[in-house]
Amino acid sequence: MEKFRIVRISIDLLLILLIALYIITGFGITEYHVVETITFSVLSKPVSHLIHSNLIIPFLIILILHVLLSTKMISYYRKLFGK
Amino acid sequence: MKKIIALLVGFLFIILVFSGCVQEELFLDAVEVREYNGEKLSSIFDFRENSIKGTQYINKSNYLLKITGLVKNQKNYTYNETINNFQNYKKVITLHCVEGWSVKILWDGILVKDLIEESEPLEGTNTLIFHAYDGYTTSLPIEYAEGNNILLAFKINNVTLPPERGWPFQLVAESKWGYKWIKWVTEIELSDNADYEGYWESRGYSNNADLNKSYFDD
Repeated sequence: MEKFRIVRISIDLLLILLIALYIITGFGITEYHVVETITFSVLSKPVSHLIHSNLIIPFLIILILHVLLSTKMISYYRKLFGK
Repeated sequence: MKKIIALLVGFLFIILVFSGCVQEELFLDAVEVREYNGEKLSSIFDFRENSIKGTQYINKSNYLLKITGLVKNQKNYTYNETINNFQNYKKVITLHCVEGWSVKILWDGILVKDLIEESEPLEGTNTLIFHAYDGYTTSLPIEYAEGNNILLAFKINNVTLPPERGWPFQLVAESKWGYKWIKWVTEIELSDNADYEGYWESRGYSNNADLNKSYFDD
């Protein structure tokens, strides 16, 4: 169960990271002056655009994994505590 | 209770900041039309400001549109000469921005091909490089501009282009992504360098910029 917990937490953290990246690259497209300055031109408008438009599939995979693992975790605790 | 109110105010503030619902203040010299030949048009206020250095304010009294590069006769036109010496045309064209928004607008302008024919392009010229007042550049094949009757617009929805929309001239690069629609045009340079890359093109966007392709494909 400990391994399962570690995997679940890793998936959750990855999901948070992807959400943050999705938002930052989104701003990197529309508010590129600000984002380019903050990231020292690492996230330029085209780079943000490229990342943002290719992020949807990894995001969906991780989101589905997150939902599935959370559901599994809930059913495990229900079994454990007899509810 | 105070916490709930603070949360609500914060939430509303975030919505206000990020929804883009704050309308720009533009001075227009006429009332814009919102319908043309039965077609509904977007508003001048529907554009989003995304230029590289913000709005450019150009002085009409010393403005010159330069036609330079591989031409027999280099020309300089004042604003009035440009709009009065060439035939004016109207077109309803939609601008599609790579950011995801689009606007359907009635454009009034002159044909780019009329401008360049007057300067007599030299043999081997294949590219038009457009320069803007803020240093922005972009390029288009000369064949594209001639074959598609591309406009250099000075009116938008029957209103003179305000500085925020590119006064004196904005290129109406129909069937191309928005970054080809250069505003505040000051110079058209004729060149034989078909691989010239403008501001956004040199930073990763497609030089071709065809609407039916991805803006990263060349």
